[in-house]
Amino acid sequence: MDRAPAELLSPDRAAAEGAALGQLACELPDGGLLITASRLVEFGARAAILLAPGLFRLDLTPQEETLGLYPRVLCGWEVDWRAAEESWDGYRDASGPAPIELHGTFGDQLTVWIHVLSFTERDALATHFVAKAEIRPVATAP
Amino acid sequence: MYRLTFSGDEDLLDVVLPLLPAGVHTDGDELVAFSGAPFPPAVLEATGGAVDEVPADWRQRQVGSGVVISGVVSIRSPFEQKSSAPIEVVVERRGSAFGSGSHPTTQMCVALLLELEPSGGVADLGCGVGTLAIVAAKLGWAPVVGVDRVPVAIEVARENAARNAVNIDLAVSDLAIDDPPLAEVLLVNAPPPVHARVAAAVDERVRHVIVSGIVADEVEDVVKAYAGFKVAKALGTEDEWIALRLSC
Repeated sequence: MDRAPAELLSPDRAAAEGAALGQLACELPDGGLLITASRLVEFGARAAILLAPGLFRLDLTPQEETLGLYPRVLCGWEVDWRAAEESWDGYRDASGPAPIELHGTFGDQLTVWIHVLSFTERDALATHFVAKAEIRPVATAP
Repeated sequence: MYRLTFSGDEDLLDVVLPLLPAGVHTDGDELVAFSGAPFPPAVLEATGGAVDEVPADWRQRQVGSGVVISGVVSIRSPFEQKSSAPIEVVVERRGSAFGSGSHPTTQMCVALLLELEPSGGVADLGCGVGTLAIVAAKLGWAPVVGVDRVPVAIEVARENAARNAVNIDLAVSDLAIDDPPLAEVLLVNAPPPVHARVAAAVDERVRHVIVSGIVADEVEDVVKAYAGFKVAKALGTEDEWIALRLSC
């Protein structure tokens, strides 16, 4: 472990380092860190939507009908990201939009659930995103 | 409105993206950021980039001109700049209608259609806002028909056909229930259940089917459904979208 978990799960640090992004952070009741953010991102721009200092940053690039996701690892742990593929391209799902869901594991220490909702505003050539990440020590993950 | 132009790699983005809520655009080999307020000193120091003032009209920041496919067909929105491509298609999108040209499946379908010599009719099944049907009509295919189950898509497709001065017969039709219109070339940029329905309805009038809207692990079943057709050309993207031209 290259950083102490207490530091990585500090809401104060997440709020401070994500302040320019308008990111909010708090401690989860059963241990862990919750970070949330919302943003309007123009088509074609790559913008950071969530920043977990020392762990990862999630960047998004919306296009009119596609969405690029860039999970950027900021630590030395072996990281595994998995996506719920049925939520990946909502336009193929006639039942309506659902949050994009990503699950990450950071070594055997931390687990992360990310949910991203998006609403495209074609008149503004941009997409609204609302995102949250729940980061927990593996021992307390539900 | 301020514009910052700079060069950099992922390590630089690690420093500046958390400080740039609007993110960065790629313009050739350079990165460009826009801000209504002066950029933070930390960003200027890290990037060493050049700042200039630009008009606050965000539409002017659309540096692209839509997409140009095979150097022949340009597909763009009314807000984007004209390209020098010989065939220009201008389409608008509204609501949940699909087909602005930004999606790789649309672009691959156009690329595959461009390889055929126009000789007969085209049916665009799941036509969205009419992009592929308009391209077909502009290439010289006739008659061209388009159907989609989303009423707003057909409404916008009619507007787009008029905008591009082409004659296309457009109708609301749910291919899960209705029989598909058939033609020498079928454009089917749709998920596998639609392909199953279309494949079951294909008859001797159909010479080519341009298939997309599917990913790599769906190819085998979809191709098998189009009995009597062989894969004449296959295209794919890194994120697994597939487009095929099936011919008989």
